[in-house]
Amino acid sequence: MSPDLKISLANVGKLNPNSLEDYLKVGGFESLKKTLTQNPDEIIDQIQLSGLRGRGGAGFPSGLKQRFTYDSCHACPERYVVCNADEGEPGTYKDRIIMENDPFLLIEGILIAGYSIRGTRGFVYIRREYYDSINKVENAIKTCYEKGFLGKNILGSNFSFELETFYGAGSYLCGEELTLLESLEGKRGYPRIKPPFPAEVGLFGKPTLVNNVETFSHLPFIVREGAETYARLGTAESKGTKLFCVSGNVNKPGTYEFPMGITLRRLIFDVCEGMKEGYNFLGALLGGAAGTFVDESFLDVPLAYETLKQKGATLGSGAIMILDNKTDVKAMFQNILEFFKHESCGKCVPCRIGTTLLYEKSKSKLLESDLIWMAQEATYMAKNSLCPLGQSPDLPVKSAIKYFKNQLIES
Amino acid sequence: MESEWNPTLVENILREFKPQRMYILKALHRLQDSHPQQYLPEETLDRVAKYFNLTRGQVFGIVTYYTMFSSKPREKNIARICKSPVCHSKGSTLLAEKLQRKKEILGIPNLVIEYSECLGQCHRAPVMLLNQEIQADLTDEKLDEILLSLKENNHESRP
Ligand SMILES: Cc1cc2nc3c(=O)[nH]c(=O)nc-3n(C[C@H](O)[C@H](O)[C@H](O)COP(=O)(O)O)c2cc1C
Ligand code: SF4
Ligand code: FES
Repeated sequence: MSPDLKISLANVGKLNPNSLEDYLKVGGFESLKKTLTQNPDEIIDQIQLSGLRGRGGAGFPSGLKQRFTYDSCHACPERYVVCNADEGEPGTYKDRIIMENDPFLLIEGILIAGYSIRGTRGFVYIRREYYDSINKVENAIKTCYEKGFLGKNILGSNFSFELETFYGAGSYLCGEELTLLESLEGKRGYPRIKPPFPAEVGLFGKPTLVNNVETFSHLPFIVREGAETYARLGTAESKGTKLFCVSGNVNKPGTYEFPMGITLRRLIFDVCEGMKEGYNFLGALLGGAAGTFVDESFLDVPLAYETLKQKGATLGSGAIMILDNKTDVKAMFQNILEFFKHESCGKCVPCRIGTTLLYEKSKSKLLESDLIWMAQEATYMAKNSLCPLGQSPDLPVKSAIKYFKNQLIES
Repeated sequence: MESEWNPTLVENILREFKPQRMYILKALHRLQDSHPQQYLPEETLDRVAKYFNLTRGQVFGIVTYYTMFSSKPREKNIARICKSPVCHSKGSTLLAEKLQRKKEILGIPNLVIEYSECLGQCHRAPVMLLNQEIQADLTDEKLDEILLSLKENNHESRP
């Protein structure tokens, strides 16, 4: 298979995102048609076989999630699909590119997922700062209703499905799936306790499949080309392609799609054409604010879930923020801790107080003993916080200390 | 300051939405966008509460939770400067301060400057969202251009 093979970005720049005809011309909705002739369980089997894992950050097997959502209640008359388009993890800009350039692909993916779980309604939760994404997705939904790709008896089948958009309002925490459901219900973004998972008790208590935009964008390919073809891409435990969002002082920062397993070295020095003149590579922040700092020893580690995990790092959303010899690592560290403080909802004490303490500490001149204290505080928060946000500082704090201790202490 | 709320407009906007709680965020966005000072006056929130069958407290709780909403008057134009790591590393907080000073020097009354987290344009950092449009690769000169065009368009309605 060609190493240039694209799945999420296959049509980017090749079609008018407002034109259904354009999408149909490149084979759009053929996968949906194929899906409608199959048994929903066969579709779930295919997704499971493909090895696709969620692209929103946690990497949960997508087919399994579909299976859980259907199996949690066979008798339920309603099941929902929620598309997480909140894209709030700093350094991440990939879902936006799919929505702005190929909104019909996203809709086709949502429809395939909806059919597989025998769902009835779908919701796309888009952050409000993404005006262009909102316009493109809403326009595509409207067109799909007009042309029979959404609504009652889609393309003359027995499958009916409604889809509409909803907006966020500037809260990072609302990207967390259970908090997102609260927000979708028109409430403040306070997290729910897990379990139960959305697959069991989701939106308005109904079984709900929550997936990221990029995850949905892979379903049409898997249905069309087959699970085996998909599974041939990537590494042992990370199948398919992934969007990598490279930012910082490289010559060509941007979002690139490659099979899982590409190295940082190739991404930076080949794909992004190297560091800008006057800047030397120092390391990276992988996976966003809730991600891990890494140094040059990661240049040749394949970017995949299992290989990064072995080294204590994470792929997260695919954000890759490059640090260089001129980066003020301590300022960045402080910036991230301020972010968590700002985004903590304040519902539970360990996180409300912990994020404040960490941020305040980071503003002072740091000694080795301070770093030890910070790592302990992050551990305490990870163990005692109510929701994943309070667990998030753990990775960046400890990895920053591990790889950039000198930079943190010196300044 | 007078709250300038327009009851007919508010009613008309509300009627675009089903009176179900899940539509409240969308409705609040539309209402705020429709206000020349980009905020949600108390009278509007009362109408929203009634329409969605919620208490005032519930609606206020929502408005105060979400950072994009304001219950205090702002200005016609809102600049949201990204302060997340990539933009921050490229000096976005400094740019925000400069923007504030330039705004005062040039005497541009209809602009309020706020911060935002990552705007998903990190490859073009530093970045800001000016009303509904992204302004990227910001420099001193670019800020001047933007401010001057705001000054010229002072009397026109926003896009
Ligand atoms: C604080 C926090 C913020 C999150 N923000 C997002 C987000 O913006 N977009 C997203 O897709 N997932 C986000 N997630 C992950 C979701 O909770 C969830 O795992 C994801 O939507 C599942 O989809 P997937 O299986 O397709 O990845 C966030 C998680 C946490 C803890
Ligand atoms: S961990 Fe933080 S964000 Fe999560 S519930 Fe507690 S205070 Fe809120
Ligand atoms: S960090 Fe500013 S746009 Fe992403």
